[in-house]
Amino acid sequence: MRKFLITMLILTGPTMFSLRAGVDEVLSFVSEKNVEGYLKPFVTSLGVGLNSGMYHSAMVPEKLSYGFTLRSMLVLVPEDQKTFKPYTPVGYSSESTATVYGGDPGYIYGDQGYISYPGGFNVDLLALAFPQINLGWKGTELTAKFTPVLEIGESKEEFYFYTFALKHEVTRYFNNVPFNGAIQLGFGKIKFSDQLDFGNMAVNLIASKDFRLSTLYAGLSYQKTEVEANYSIVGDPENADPDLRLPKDVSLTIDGENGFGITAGAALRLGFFVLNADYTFNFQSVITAGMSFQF
Amino acid sequence: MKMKKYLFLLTAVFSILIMAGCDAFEDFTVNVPLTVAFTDSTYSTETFDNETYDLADNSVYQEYKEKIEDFEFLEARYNVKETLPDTITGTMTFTVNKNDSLGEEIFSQVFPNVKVYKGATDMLVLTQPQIQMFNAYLLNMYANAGTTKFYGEAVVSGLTDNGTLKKIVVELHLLLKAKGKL
Repeated sequence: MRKFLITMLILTGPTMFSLRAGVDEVLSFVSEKNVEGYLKPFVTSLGVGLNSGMYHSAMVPEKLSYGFTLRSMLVLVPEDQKTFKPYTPVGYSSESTATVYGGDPGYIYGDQGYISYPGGFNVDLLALAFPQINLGWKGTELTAKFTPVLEIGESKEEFYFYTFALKHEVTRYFNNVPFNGAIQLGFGKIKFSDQLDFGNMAVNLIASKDFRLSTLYAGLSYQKTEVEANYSIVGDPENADPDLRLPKDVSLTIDGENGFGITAGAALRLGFFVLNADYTFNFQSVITAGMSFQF
Repeated sequence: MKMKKYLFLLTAVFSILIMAGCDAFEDFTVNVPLTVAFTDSTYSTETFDNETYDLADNSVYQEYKEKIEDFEFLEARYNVKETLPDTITGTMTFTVNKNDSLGEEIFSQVFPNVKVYKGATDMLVLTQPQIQMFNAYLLNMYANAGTTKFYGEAVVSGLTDNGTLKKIVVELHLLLKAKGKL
């Protein structure tokens, strides 16, 4: 079991790192004015990914409880997040080009020649997998997903991520409420070397109803994600875009699509073993499946 | 024993998901814009200039050359930057050869009786065989470590023979698309 957990933790790191590596490689010719439009869907994905699957019930037992969950998610990328309208210099008209999830690179023509934008990676969905642990007592539960600090690749770049969420069942203070209700606050962080530093905050209002072996649950969430991005523009004196002619280090903060999401799901309880699946409707919707061992 | 089976199955499923996530971010596409500038003047009826362009000097190419696996021609246009007098009329011809002036011609495009003035621009329309030859030449750079050079000519002929100085500065812009694995 311990070996399996370590394997999971080590596997999760490279997955996330490969996403970062792919994105980082194509930023060398993206101006500071366009990097937000290009990367925003990626930031949103990591936000909804970190916040998804943080619960499968509003109920928290009075007595000490703990559990371990294997969580997998499919983040669905909508078509309208595969393109964006880039900033263009004077003498050029803006036309839609690919975001990080889009297809072929866009280009426009003007007085100074062709201005080209990077292509996307043709992503329709993003698969993420995390191990998760939880610890509850007296109506309050702490849930955590995390990896240890990993050094990945030939350059031994540092990677880690964590999400902590604190859930409190509020219906325990009221009598005759026909369901369980809880509020959950979550904070997450993903760090890729010194280049990308994601921060995520989420508030979830959760309602659930237990039946004999199953639980139906729903949630309303608000989430905010931003990334501090640092990258270098190579610099090309002949580039038609004046913002790309000189080598430059760029540092900026990019917001994801922040706002509300709605989750609906079901869980099947077989003793200490719980299977659950849910769907979150958000800027990027997420299908989540989990297998938990709850004690 | 059952628990071990579950864990094995889950490891397999999670590994597949993880591999899918990695693959999605490996394939990249990037456009490589090239600009070749021609400048010439004449007192007679024809201007002529030639330039050699080495793709190896292009910064986008430099950045990705180790990772590019396929290259293709996308589009080409000319853009007149300067003329003397303000407007001249003639037949403009652009020719691009492999490697140098003796290299095989990839394409030649003629614009007959055009008005040439600052800001004038038009697209070069290549035939499918010309595009295929261009793409093959680009691919040869990788498959057979071929040359990365192009030779270009710009000619404006049929100018009025009035003994005055006629000058033209024109840029040929080419756009190539590169695909590769990061």
